[in-house]
Amino acid sequence: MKFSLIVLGAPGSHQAASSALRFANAALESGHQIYRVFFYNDGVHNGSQLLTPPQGEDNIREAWKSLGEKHGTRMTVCIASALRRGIVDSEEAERYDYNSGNLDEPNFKLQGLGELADAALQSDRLITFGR
Amino acid sequence: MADNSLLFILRTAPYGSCLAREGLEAALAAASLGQSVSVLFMDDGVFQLVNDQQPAHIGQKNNSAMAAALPMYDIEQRYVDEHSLNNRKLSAENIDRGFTVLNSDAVQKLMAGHRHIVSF
Repeated sequence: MKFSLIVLGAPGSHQAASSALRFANAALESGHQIYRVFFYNDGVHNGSQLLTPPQGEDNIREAWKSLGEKHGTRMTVCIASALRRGIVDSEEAERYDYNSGNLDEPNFKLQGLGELADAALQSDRLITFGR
Repeated sequence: MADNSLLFILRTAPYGSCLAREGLEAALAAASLGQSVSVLFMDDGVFQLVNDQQPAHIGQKNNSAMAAALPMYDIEQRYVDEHSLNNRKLSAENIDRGFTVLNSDAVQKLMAGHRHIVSF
């Protein structure tokens, strides 16, 4: 089965992202596919390059990154949610004249809500984490 | 069941968090991209539709104005969960017009009739 996930929670303050990651790994191990993870609302913080958890705690961005590299899952960060919360890619950083962006590119991509509609179209199941 | 029907369930009260607004934005975006979209307001989400909201006092945009835009995006299927209204001492008179009130059986049928459900 082909799944897509919607993640609404920020790492470090909500269980949603961690549950989504565990679900994704379990589904992949069982032979299913994860077409896209769509980071929306506070979930956009999962893509921050600046996430720095204390020693002994997992860095979820690294985990998403390796999942994407290994299985070709698209890691899509909603651009409207992201800009509102200070998550910016290099292109937007240039547009707004910031010193730098902080999105972990190219593992995560800043894209529009159209990608959520696309995920619904392409996937057998769409699962929301964080509500 | 439409081939790619999407039911957006809006379950959070407006203003306290951004989820009410971003949930509506997601529904409007999907509809504007030609998806078959329905919306259901339930749980604390019914507060999004309470009439005479005046969020300018707290520097916010009016959430119910955004909900009122749903028909303009061709979202014809707009529902409110009756049980959620009753639990909050609200009724159809307290909410904006243009939404059909559904009992629990009808809500179940609505959910079963969509390919995807997205909950905010």
